[in-house]
Amino acid sequence: MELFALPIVGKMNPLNYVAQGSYVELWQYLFRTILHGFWARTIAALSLVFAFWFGVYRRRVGLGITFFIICLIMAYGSGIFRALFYLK
Amino acid sequence: MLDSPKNDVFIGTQSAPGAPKGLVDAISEIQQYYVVERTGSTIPEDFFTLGGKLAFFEVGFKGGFLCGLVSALMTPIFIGVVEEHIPIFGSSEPSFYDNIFAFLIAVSFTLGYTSFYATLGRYYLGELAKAAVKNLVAGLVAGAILKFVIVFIAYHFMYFIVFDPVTFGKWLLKFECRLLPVTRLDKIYQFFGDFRHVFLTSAYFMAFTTILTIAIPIIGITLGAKRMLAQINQEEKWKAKGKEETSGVTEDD
Repeated sequence: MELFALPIVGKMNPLNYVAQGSYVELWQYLFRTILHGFWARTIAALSLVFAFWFGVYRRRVGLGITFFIICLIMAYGSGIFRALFYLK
Repeated sequence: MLDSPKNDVFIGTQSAPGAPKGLVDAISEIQQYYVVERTGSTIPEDFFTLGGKLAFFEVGFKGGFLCGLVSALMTPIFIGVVEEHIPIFGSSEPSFYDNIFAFLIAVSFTLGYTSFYATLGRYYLGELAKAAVKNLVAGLVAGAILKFVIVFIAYHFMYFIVFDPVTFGKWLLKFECRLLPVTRLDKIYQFFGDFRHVFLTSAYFMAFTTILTIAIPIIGITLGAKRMLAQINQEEKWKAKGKEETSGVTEDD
């Protein structure tokens, strides 16, 4: 428990600097902008292109699969989060 | 490990040559066969043992099956997007771009994986390399067909048995607890009640992805082999022309 007495650990808690409401709002804003609309479409399309570029053309399969997973998160991440809150 | 007469110890891999463990190994071996046969050494087809043939078939089979499982997972999501059950990019009313993108995601793994096989056309030269490529592709085709049969039955099983309204309702009620009250279970029931139709469409869409899995490598290899053969013929023509010119110069002298 000594570790938690360290001042640096206390400073890592974001709620020491911002109110809980604005912290939640920040994350909601990030999800709204990244996983929705233009940015989601752009990042997903780029990820799919990179997945083919690295996975097939450059034959770096690991990197290709990583970009494919990013593409999946961008496309369907919002739906997954919505389903979690829908079931709440 | 092998001990030489001088007591030197050689550390090598345990697997015998001609027994690839994965697709990358198999392609590397085919490249080696191609290089050996292209440089003029003729290797009889019997050099490629039964074990080697089976190993190449196994790599192709596993690949075809794995590739099919990924597309089997992606296909209901794609159909779900088109039929507006699953949101994409945060929207439950997908645009034309969204539908195309969902389709691309569903087939991209198949396209990417089979593109590896399609590149083998340039190595389709000589008895040994040809036998290796044929066994690899035969394995892929067998794996893809088996996957299609299993997935087709599984999707129909999901539609008729698992998500049958009466059976699914009874089964879902067994999970009722504090974390999953009836209101939440009702939402799940309604979602899968609408979503179950997606499995039937997906079963027939899987036929399309299976055809892609089989067609892309075969077309790629056929075209690649033709291009390679034309290149070799051209090189031979140039060589013959060069020889004629040099012999003409020496006769003039």
